[in-house]
Amino acid sequence: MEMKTLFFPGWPLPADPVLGFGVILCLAIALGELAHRFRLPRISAYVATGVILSFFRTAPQLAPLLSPARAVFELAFALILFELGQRLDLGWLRRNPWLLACSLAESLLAFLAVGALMLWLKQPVILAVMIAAIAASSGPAVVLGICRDTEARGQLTDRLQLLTALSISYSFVVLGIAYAWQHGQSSAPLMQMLLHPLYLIAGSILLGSLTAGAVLRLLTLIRPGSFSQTLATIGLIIASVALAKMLNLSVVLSALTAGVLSRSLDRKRQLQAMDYGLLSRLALIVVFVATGTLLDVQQFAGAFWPAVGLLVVRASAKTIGVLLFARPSGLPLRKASLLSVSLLPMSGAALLWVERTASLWPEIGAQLAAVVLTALLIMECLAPPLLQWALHRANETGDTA
Amino acid sequence: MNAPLLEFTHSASLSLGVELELQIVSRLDGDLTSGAAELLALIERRPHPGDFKPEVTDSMIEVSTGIHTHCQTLHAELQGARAALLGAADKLNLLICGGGAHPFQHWAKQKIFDKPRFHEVSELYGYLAKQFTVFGQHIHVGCSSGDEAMFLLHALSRYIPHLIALSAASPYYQGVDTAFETSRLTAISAFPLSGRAPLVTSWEAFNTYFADMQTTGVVQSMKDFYWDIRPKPEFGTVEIRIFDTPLTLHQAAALAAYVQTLSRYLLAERPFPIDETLYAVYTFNRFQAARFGFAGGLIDPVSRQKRLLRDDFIETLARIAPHASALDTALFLESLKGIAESGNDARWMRETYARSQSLPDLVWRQAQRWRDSP
Repeated sequence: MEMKTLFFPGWPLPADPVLGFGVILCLAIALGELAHRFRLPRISAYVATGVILSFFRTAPQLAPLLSPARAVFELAFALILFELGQRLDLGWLRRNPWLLACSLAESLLAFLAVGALMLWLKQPVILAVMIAAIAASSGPAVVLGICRDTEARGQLTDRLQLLTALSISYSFVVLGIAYAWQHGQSSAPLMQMLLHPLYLIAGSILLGSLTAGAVLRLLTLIRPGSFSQTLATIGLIIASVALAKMLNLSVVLSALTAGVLSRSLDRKRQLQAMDYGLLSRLALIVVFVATGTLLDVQQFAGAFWPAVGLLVVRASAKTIGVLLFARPSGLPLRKASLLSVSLLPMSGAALLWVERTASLWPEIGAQLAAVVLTALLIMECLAPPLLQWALHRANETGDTA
Repeated sequence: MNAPLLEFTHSASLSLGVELELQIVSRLDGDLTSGAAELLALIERRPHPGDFKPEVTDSMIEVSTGIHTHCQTLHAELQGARAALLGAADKLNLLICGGGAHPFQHWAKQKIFDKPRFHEVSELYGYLAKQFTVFGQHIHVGCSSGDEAMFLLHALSRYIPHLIALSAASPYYQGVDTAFETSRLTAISAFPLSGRAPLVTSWEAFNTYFADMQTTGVVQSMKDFYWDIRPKPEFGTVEIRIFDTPLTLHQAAALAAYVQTLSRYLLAERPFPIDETLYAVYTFNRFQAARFGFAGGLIDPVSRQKRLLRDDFIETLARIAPHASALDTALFLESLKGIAESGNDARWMRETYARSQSLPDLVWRQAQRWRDSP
């Protein structure tokens, strides 16, 4: 009958991405609670959810659900970096300069060691530099996710967050330079070779500073301690992420800068009382499920041993860097060892870099993806339980966790 | 079973020692954070004034002085200890502050310091042990004998309301204004052996009482008594435990000066008899002081007259003035008089909060005050 078609939907039902989002969220949360019952980190289950989904990425019904994952991923990742940036106290580096030495040492050693390994494996120089730069940083989302999940507080937690935020910044700068170099290699005009990284770094920092200024300005208009402060801040971050993408700037660097500056310029300590609570948890779930979907399990076999080599070399280098400066920076050796374990998570930002590289230079992008994404996949499995264990051993987790 | 007799170590009469329990706070959000273990490890790397010890929770550190005859040297030792502590705290990005309780911490998040006795306490008292994340100052007064200690213990109880109002520094607790000048005292009152000591007036009688408590299993050691004032036989002192940790070191030293001067007055003049009448009004006076500070009422246990606590305190200062000049404590007592007239630490906290409407900001300013004040 003709009337039916007026209000009944067609069959099969058209897939609405929002429905997919809801179902996936519930699935991730359910698996997360299951993992928690077995004393595993919830975020491991979120990643697993994403990996399961990625098996269906070619299914015609599911493909439209996965395509928005990237956009949501970037947004959630930016929120996490903003929050991490707020936990970075630049004054601490002034009061304890050995911390800066420790940070530089662990990142630089990891960069050099991984770079050397890649050259030994006969990888092209540019690729070795990119892989090493990505490997030098620790994973902000895993760090923040586990710290929140376990309600961690204490010296190890504070240092872990500081070193992670710093390493992500170094890694970004080196990658920016590597991009410039590659532009030179591909015989782009000199101006472009210089301007591209300059635009990327300076532009992102400028956008981050403006965002920080706007956040602080807005907070003075809202009653302190109210939840509206948090929501307004998140609104500004979302707008800033959109601007970064429109202007071809780095979402990662601008969000991190916005976080760091909104804290250090916060003379009236308005931000201290803010709690990102539920929204931050939602962002974390989104980031880990999306990471899972973007990890390509099919590529796993190809670069398995180089990836394992990378992880071993990276872990050793970071451990040496941390232990070298443990005593002068005032950390007992036991906690320093636990700190070097805690720095193992790899950054999900690697996914963004691989994509960016692939879009500029498809061939390098594919090679980069093979090693980096395999290493990332291994670490997404191992690092969260390791980090949880380390925080627990350091007696810094909350009792309820 | 016969309990061994407690021997009272002799010490110089009117000598002083002070313990301060301090809050370890995160610079990031102003909340309590665990850091005692790292702070201690860092401080002990080089010689320093003062003696540092962990306390029941990991977000508390205790500093104690040696034995002093003069409050000026005691104050100087505290300042030296503070410098050592702040040096370590800066390296670890921690803030240290005074105050009787953290304004907004949540007790469930406190970690018990990893030491067997603390875990036992935690096991026995359950949530009380964590709720006990309150911060006090203890003042020890040396006594030449156990009998002198028992006399001083009871005589000083007359002045407990003064000491409460002078040190009160915990109006905020668990994120709310409790309306009390010190909320810490109510947290302590939950413990079974808190409050006043029984009216035993000689060391021999105290030993009988203690043996009785021990054989019946009420207590295992002197540590199980959480009285406002208790004898400390191994130090040869009377220990007053009623104070909130003040926001400044000068105030901590001034409180010690007041206790020392009062003790000299009480021992020399024995102005009233020690009997149960002292305690008939004790809990009323104690409550008034904790709730209203110097604006509270005080019933004089001897005359039975009710008067303003502030008036009673200022009159006491006048009465003990000769002893103050003998001990050279007059300047410290002068500063306490100023506090009684113009407002204690609790008042400063309320005024500070009223300006910013932010408890983390209050904690931050408390830490500044602890760092910068004399």
